[in-house]
Amino acid sequence: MPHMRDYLLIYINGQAHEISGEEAWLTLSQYLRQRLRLTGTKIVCEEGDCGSCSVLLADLLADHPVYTPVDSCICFLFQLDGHHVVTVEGLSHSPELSTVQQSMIDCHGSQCGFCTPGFVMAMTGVMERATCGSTRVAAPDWRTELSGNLCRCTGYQPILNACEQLKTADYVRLDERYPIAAMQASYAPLEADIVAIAYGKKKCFLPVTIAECLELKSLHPEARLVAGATDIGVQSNKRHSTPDVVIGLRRIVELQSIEVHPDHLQLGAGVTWSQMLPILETSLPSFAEVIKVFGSPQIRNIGTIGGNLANASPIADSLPLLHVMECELKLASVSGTRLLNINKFYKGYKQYDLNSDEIIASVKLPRLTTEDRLRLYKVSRRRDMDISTFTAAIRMRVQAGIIEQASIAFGAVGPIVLRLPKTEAYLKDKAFTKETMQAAGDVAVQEITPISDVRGSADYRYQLSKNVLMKFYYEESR
Amino acid sequence: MTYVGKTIPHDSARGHVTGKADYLDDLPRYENELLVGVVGSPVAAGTICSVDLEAAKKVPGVVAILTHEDIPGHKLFGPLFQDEPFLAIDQVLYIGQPVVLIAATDRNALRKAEALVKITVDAIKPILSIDDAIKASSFIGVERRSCKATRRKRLPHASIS
Repeated sequence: MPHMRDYLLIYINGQAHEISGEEAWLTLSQYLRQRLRLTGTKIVCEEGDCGSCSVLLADLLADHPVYTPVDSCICFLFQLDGHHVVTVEGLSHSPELSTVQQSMIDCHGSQCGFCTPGFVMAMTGVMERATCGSTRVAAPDWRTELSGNLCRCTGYQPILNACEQLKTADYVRLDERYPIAAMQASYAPLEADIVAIAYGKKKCFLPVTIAECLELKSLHPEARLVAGATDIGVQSNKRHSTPDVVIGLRRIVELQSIEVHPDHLQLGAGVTWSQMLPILETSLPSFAEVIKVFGSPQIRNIGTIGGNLANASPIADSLPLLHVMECELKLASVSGTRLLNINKFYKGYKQYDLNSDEIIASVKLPRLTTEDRLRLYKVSRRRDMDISTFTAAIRMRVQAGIIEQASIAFGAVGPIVLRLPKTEAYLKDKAFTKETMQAAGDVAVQEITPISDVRGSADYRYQLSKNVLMKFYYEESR
Repeated sequence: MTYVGKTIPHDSARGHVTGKADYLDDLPRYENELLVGVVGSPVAAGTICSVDLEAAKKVPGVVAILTHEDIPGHKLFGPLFQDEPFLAIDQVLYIGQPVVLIAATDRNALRKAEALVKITVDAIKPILSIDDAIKASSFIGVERRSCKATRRKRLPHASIS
């Protein structure tokens, strides 16, 4: 039996902090601002949209920890055992400044200054990644990298100018300020501990292995599994509902494995979107394009594929693709594992076939064959950092102008992501023509039940469902 | 000409980029300092029927709960025309329009009390376009007219060079 520990060990700007009791449920931003009085981390939207609360996070359990920006307002302390957090106050010691800070001053990258610490942290994260050797970034795509930070008065141009001025050669890495090996060494004797914190009716468990996690889930079937908390964090801030019993998954390294096989990828449920992106860029580029507009870098750095599946939103950006690829979910419990096609997983709005003692362990994502044509669509009001109004995945195999097979999944047109079996059957063995796709649109609208909401009317979604089939046709016939 | 043609950094830029610039919410709290929150109208337009504060008053840590009735005399403000109530009197004109003000010793008490305030409003259909407003003769303030003036007529003594 591994050792149990009833406190969290988190490093902040190089200092170790032991956190126990109710404080484990504080968000990182609350802890920084209210307990440590590190008020450079700003709170604006409290829902992971604006990036003003960005801090850098390094996982000490990783072989080569890399600092990545995350939104501290939707990150709970109980997710951060064994992490090093760097805040804007930790970037430099007065009077010296980091090159990122100096560049923002030189280029007039701040006006009211409220979003500035968040931008500085996101930019520092990019520089950390650009200088970490194996994954050297020649010219960062700054517009994408900063899509998780909103500014409403300075204007983005001076900020982008500050970015363009940065040189990797002059950049002093955070490692020089905070030797990570020393923190890893001090955490090492504690890294195999199961953390168990109780406060009133609140309970928090942090297992290190999948086996421990399954054991805990069978003992506490009511426990909410928490990976990135990018949704639970928002629920907590906006609806004031935080689950009392939680099992944190971030310390389970086994859940973060990515296996590359000739015919499929096996993705651990705890793999973040950022970890997956480089692999998808070569193996499934169309999915990579959708992932790049999925949340923001801050969200993708902590949000996981398992979290997106279990959150079960009908507008989850990854789900249409996973449906048409016939992904297989590996569901595990103390009594064993079972495999389930994702198309059989969802039962109703936020309901799915997962027993209270089970967890989603991994996802088998088959590779595309060369005959497959696949296109993914996301319709939203903004390109970046927006919740989808409509999503679609269309996969077709066309031979000599005849559709051999069609797989279609639409999101945001029903209580769950919908496959369109009638439309798929209609398309089979038909000529891949404009007329066929037009007629398929008429079948498709019979299979969906969209509602009107703040993101679009039902009529709009009916129209999109037809149009997207035409769009697929035109794009594939170019 | 000390400054012309030179790039002068923003006075506060150093504070901004280091997180040292203090904003209101960053200042340490004074002893006995209270946190204030607002409970607003649940609807976009209507007449307030009742405001039930009983449950909210009982929350430990709540020090004061105020409505327009607690404001003596001058209840309206505005930059040009003083026509906006500090706290709604009988009509509400937008969702979230302040109706109740709560002061409490800590955030949790404030949140709890805010959730317990019950504002009942007899809702009416809000006017959301200029056309609808003209149809309903719903205008802001007293009627004013702008008219063209010719220089000679209106400004006979102005010297124009």
